[in-house]
Amino acid sequence: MFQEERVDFKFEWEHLGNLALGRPNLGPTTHIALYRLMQFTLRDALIRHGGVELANRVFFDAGRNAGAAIYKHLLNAPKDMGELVRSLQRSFEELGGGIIRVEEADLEKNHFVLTVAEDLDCSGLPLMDEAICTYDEGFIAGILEAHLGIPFRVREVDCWCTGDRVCRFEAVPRDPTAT
Amino acid sequence: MLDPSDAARVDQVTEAIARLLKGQPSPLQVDADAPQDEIRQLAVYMNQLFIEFDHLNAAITALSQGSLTFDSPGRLPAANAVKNLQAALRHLVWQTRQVAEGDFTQRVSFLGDFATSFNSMVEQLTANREALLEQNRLLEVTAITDALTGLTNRRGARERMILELHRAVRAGFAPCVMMMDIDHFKRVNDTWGHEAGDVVLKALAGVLKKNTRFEDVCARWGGEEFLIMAPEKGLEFGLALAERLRARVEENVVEYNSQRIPVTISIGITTYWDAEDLDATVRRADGHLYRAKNAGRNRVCGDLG
Ligand SMILES: [Zn+2]
Repeated sequence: MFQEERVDFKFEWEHLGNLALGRPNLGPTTHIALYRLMQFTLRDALIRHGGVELANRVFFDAGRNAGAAIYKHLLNAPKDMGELVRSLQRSFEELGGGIIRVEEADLEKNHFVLTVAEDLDCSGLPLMDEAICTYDEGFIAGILEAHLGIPFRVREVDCWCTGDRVCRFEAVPRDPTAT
Repeated sequence: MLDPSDAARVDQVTEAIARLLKGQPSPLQVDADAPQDEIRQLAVYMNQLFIEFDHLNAAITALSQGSLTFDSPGRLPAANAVKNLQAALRHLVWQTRQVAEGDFTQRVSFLGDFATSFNSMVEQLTANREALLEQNRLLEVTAITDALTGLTNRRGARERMILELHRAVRAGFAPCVMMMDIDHFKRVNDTWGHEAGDVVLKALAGVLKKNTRFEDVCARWGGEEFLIMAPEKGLEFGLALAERLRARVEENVVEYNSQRIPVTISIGITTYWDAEDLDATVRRADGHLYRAKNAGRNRVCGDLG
């Protein structure tokens, strides 16, 4: 399940395990510091072993699979964009992932601008002139792709780390033939 | 920093701060050959502060003029607060647009008192809209209901019949349509008054409603004329129903001011001929009704006799 080599992604929701059974005393939540420790040491090791581009690709792909999984398991097949946004906002606040807001949603061009405040990955990090929420980029792409059935390109245009108080993501349809 | 004297250089920085406080920031000239000391560093920081001040100024000015698209590279906590507000307002713009497009589930969860007002506005809008929809629905019902008898009126009957007849034609079926009329209704009005006439009309409507099915069209066509159409039922069923209705009406006791008013009806019955105009069917049923009247009233006449 976790050790076999693979060509396609094999993540399943069940891989998260039975939390009620597994953590009867500690419960399903953890400290953000632990999450970030995992994320940034992982990023560090990935860059060290494969370079920045690989690290970003890994985070994007992982985020995208997570987005698709969340869409499938937590969002209750929303009928339209309004319902999708509402359900995503609700789940994300419940899970403590961040406060999601929409700034633009052009349903004809499928062009979206979303912001995430109090983001799990980056809120509170030192300023460093580089946006780092690659996982979130993948995550948003995964959600939109699951909902609309077309591939998306998502870019973090503003980040806490570049001096903004919210992370701002721009999503546009991706030419499926482009790499 | 042209003046090499330390005191004069400190003076220059001090003046620059004073200008900044007056809202007239102007950067200090830091020459390459000026001494590399703390005063130089102070001047450099001062200049950075000017830049931050400018960014903040530009952002707040843009915001105060209603622009939400400004891009501010400012790093001061105050600049961040402005950007936070910008993001919140941009989301609010989207939410307002959603409300305008009919999504009344939008609620604002930030911006304090404003959020409360916005949310109560949307709730009020929702309530008003629902009240209007309900009123509309009631109006629609009123428009197709006869106020006196509570039966469908002519307009409502026509709408439903057109629907049912299309369905019947598609199924290759000829449903029955009957017109009926209270015998000597003028005499009822003349003898007992119009109030009695209304009592008779209501009593008849009650008998018709009670003896027809939910899916039948049972309407007050106008005056003392009533119409019944039984979807999916042909002439044979219609004739039996018409005869039963005629008998029930005759048996039914109508009392007005402790007096018994005798009421009978005459009925003309026909079937809807494939794709003909609805009015033609009604005219044919009317023709049979007049035959029933001429033949002595309190009887049923139809296509077969
Ligand atoms: Zn970010």
